[in-house]
Amino acid sequence: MFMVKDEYINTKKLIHARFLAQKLHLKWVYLVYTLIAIGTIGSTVVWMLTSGQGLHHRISSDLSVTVFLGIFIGYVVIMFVYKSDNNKFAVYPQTNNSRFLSSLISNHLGIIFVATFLLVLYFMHFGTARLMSVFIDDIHFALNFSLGFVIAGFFVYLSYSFLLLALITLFGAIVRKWKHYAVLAFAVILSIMIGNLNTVIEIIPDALAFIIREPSLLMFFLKAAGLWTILTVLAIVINNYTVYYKSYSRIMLKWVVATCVGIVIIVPVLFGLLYNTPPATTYDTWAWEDDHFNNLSTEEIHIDLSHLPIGSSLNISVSENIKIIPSDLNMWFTTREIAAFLNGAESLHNIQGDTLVIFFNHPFLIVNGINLFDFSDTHMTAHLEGDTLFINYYVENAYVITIPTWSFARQFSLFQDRGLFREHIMGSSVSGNMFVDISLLVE
Amino acid sequence: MNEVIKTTNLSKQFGKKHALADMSITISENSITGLIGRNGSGKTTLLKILAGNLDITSGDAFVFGEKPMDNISVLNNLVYTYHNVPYEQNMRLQTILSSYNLMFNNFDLEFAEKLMHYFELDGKMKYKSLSQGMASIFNFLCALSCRAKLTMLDEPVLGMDVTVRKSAYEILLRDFTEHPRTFVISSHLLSELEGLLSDILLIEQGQAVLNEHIDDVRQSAYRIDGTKSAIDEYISDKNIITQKTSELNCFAVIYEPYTREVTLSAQNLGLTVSQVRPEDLCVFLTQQNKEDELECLW
Repeated sequence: MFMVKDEYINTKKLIHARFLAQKLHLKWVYLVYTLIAIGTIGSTVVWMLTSGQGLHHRISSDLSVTVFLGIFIGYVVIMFVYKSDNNKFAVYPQTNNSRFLSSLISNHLGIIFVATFLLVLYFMHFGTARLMSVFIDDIHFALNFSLGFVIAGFFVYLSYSFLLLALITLFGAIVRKWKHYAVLAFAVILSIMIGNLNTVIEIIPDALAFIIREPSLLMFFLKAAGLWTILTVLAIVINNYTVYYKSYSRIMLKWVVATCVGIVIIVPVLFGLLYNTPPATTYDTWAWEDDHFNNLSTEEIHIDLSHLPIGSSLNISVSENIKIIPSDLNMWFTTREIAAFLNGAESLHNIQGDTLVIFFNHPFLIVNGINLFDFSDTHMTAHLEGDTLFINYYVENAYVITIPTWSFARQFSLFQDRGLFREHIMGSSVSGNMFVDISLLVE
Repeated sequence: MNEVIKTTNLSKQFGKKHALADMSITISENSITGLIGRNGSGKTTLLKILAGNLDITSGDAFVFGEKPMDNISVLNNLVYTYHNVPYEQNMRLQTILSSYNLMFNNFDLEFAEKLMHYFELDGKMKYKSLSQGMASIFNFLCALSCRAKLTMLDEPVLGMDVTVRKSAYEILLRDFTEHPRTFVISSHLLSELEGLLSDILLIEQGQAVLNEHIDDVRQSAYRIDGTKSAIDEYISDKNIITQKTSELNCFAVIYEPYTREVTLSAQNLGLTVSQVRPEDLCVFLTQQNKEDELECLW
């Protein structure tokens, strides 16, 4: 029998005792996440309440994800400094197995706790934006919201975290069981990695393809659960045959240093690989952009000049947000401001045609394949009063919000083509201003 | 009485160093045993082995008749603390007490809180803010409140001032009277513990030198003072622990039962006979003859 009943009870108590100690740190995590939430929500509210701040607002989760990863690495380090971490609880009754299981479970619970903050933050951000949209008109969400996706993405996130934790736990168990061989193997692997980093970067994703490129959500969870079980059971079995209180020695420090070096090298690489893994179904991002460029809306307004005598002149009056610029100056991609440019002079002289054509190129702000101006109403008017041509341009419904979604989850075909992922296709955005061109049509 | 602790040829090696060498001891139920020895004699190693916190190299160690390591039925009934238990440093004392209450079935939280108040410790204080003496008090009261069948205290009074030490001893004795159980207390200060102990376990260089009831220890040796010739004549067939011969001071300590016959025979030679205090006996039994080296220092 693996453990007797008293050991299970002891494990439960140890988890509770560890939680009492963890609460000290989780309190700070809670505080940091609260500050992030206040900062993010505050900036959203300020953006909405302040005019002229721009069309687009991205509610970023980068900081909270970074905090999560930092805490996660903390848990990974705990599995490496297993002995010194357990010293804090050594005064309490425990066995090798109850100690290991309690450490394993409390680390997993800690990650669930911290990850749940991420989920709560997401809902808080989304909820705040939704709430604001009740009071303020013209707020649009560029990316679709799917509760199923958010929940599924959360579990995908957790699955990857648990898998990595299980891997590190197994590695830690191996190191404790076969210290010298493990360090030797580690040194060899490290040297191979340093010498052939590019090859390793190619090989690892291929080796992990069965899980990181699995397009079916259900299969992913099954595979993740299976792999996690194998890794964890292996770690438990190895630990079961390891004498925890084997003669204390001072070599701990160099092990810690070695494992920390390992963490510094391996963890960022693995995370980088996971983040950069191409999705099962890829978008042709450039084709997407080209398509949008080709379909950017334009509008023409024709003004009858037949009543004007040939050779007469017209003054041009434009609204405040239209700037008259020299015709040879290319301002097409230079600013994201919602403004229009009149390509020409302030007045027209010696008019020879019957019809004046005012050609409007609509503004655009394409964020990862989405033209955010598609959500807004742009209005252009042009009319002639006497010898003055009035050109007016303004934008309504100019609040568009994007809330990033779980990046890991984009590998699943279930969520493809549902307007959930475009935020992550590419990090950049392109924009173009309203452009007004005036020409004479001679019949 | 039942044996709570029993070791047979217990050995522990750290590399080439022998921390314990073929140690065979027994400690009875409901006793207060003083584990006495010089620095590096193996006291902490022995306690850690008995607490299941260290593996053994050879021999056997039994607590409640079973091997302690990874044996939850044994470990649930013992507590082993020392003056600087490395709890999470930022934890408040009240939280640590809650952890004890959670982990030890017989932990008396109310008693612990009373002791906290008695020793003027505030539950809101963080463990890291305690001085060495305060940390010792806190760990002492935690161990005492566990009311475990076996309580092992490693240097429990380190850093405590003399007033607090006396209070601690008194509380330990009264609690022992109220709730009889087995204590093993490792300390250098045997003179202070003497009134408390029922047994003495003296170890030196990993070996048990004494493992007896304190009354037996008191009767196990005696000192004779007199002239050099009379002492030399008397000790010729005796088991001498230590001997000093100088113009001003001439004495010998004999490690044999102190009886009425001994007194009479010594007095016949004009010698003065006296009992050896347990603390002095422990010093004599573990001292190394380094007088020559001492002289070389200057």
